Amino acid sequence: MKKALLLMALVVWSRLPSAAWEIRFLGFYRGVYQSFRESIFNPQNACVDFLGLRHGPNYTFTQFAGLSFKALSLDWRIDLSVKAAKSPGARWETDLTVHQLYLQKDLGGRWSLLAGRSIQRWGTGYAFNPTDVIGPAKELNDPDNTEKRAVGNDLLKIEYFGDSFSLALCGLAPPGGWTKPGSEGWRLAFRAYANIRHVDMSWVALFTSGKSPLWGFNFAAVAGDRLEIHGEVGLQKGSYEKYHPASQGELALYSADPVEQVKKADRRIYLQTLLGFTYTFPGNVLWVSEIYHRDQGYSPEDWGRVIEYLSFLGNLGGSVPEDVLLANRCWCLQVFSPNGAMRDYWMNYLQVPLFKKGTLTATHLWNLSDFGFVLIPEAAFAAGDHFTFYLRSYIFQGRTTSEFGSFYQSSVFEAGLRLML
Amino acid sequence: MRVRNRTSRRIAAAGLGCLALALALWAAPAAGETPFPAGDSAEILRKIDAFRAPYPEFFLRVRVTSTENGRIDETALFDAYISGPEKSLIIAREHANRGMKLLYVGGDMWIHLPDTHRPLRITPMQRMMGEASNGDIARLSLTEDYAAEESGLKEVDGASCRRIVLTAVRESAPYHRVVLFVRAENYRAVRAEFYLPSGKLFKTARYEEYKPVEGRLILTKMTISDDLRRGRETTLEYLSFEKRTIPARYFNKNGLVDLAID
Repeated sequence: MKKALLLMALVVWSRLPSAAWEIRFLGFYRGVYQSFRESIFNPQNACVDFLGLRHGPNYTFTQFAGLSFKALSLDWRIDLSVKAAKSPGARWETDLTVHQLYLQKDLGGRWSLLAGRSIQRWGTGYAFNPTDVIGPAKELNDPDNTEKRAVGNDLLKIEYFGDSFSLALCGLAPPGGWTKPGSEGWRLAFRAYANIRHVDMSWVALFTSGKSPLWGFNFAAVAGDRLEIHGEVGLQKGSYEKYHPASQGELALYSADPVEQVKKADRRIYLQTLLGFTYTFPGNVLWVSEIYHRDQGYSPEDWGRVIEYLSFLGNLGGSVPEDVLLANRCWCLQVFSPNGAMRDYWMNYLQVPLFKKGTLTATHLWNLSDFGFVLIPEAAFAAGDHFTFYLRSYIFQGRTTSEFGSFYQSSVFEAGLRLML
Repeated sequence: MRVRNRTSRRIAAAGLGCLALALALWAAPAAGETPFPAGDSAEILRKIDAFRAPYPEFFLRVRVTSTENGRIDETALFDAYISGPEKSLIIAREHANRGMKLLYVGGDMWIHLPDTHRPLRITPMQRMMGEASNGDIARLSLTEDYAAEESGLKEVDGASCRRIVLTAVRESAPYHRVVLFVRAENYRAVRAEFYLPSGKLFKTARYEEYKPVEGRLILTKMTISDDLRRGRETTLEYLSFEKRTIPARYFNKNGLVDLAID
């Protein structure tokens, strides 16, 4: 697939008129040092070993190229990256990723057709997006994907643009690869957007074969000179997330797959809500704050049952097959997803300019059920127009049974250089 | 919402922003093409704006040069797509912010940063941050944002000028009060003074060069000086005007992300 895409890109490239293209090079060169801790999910660093992680510096060099151009009466966009990564005790590994590759055609001034791999963001929230129904998962330290790690979906989108509204219809191929259109995994998404009385409002829907529809609404508005307010709501009958059976009070001692979609047949409506704001202080200091709730997450009681179960497994020692132990402990990697494992979170992001070339930022995500948190401070300094040096850390804290306090990483330190040409 | 190098980008965003409302000003209806509401204020603004927009819908390229004590501090090149008095799309063409887009529609503003995948709704203060304040003056959408009142004659730069006091009538107007000096005989702007709500003089703009476009004199160069920080100036040069039919998606926030740059 990648070779075919590259070949197509080269063919189109060869037909480019010299002045009709725009290219952007970004480089991300980073060294990362992780500190691990033993926890109920990671006794004797079992998870760390299972994942092949080792103490010591990890290095990643990523070169990204974004090319847009007009050819064959179409607008083209190609985003590629080449990554070389090295972990302690391992060899360098390289990877080529096609993040976006699409073509687009304006039809009659108001219609637009887009086909190919594209990253589409439909939500208004900063860190969480119940209505971002066709976008790739966000990363808390880089929700806007400025470090170019996200990969788009393969889709066909047609959109109509009115004077203060737009309508978009999108067909998406399954995330895991192409199958027969209409078969399992294919999705159809719809968005209606309107600016009404200076408020941006969008209504979205996602239809997936084998799942109930997801309905959503989001808004963004400005109040006064300094305040932007945004919110999102998502509704779906049943939950298609995976849960540890122990969270439902079921015995799962020898379950080969420790996470299951145990709530997909549930008839109740699962709600996701987000409410947030951006406030600009004098001196360009920016504060983003968001409260996020998701019914799909674990309640404190569910979480307590999982903790109790894993403690029980740990106490059994050698009487439980090791792979079962590991599988049960490593499910936490799915738990600590960008959406969080539990139900209620409060995110704050602060950005403070430092002189003319520097920026201090801090992202704080607080689990409101167990009061554990992750803190991501960062200092960045620009050198000219093309280079930015940064230092960043991830600090996971909380009680030993909390979501973030039991994570296998206790802290991460990262130093990097960003190149922009 | 968050972006890398956010500070520099916001500065540039402000640079874009500086143009946006002004370009709404550019987008003021060309004389004789769109009826204006009756009233002295509207008539005054119509006469002033007649020197700014050669067409109802057009493309414009702008060079912005910032200087400090006469030394060039920064330059930037922007493309602008203008439609009527209420819509403008500004795209940065150079340097690290190349591809940054700022959309202004009827008092609402959005920014799309080139390394991101969604436009952000921004507040008036966000668009005025950093170096933006220079160009921000130029974002005046006179016809939509202000009420005008004549208050006598005064000689400015050797010309007999009418003194026009503009008072904001829309919450999104970037300034509370503007005093504009226009040539007495034809309402061609010569100078503008921008005041903070406290009454303090904030910025001064000099309208320096007019050239014929489509048989009419159109403003092609203006310089804005910072009265709070002496020695800082920003010059806007309007390099080219092209009459164009601009697709609707250019003025819709959802059309920005996938918009290919010309």
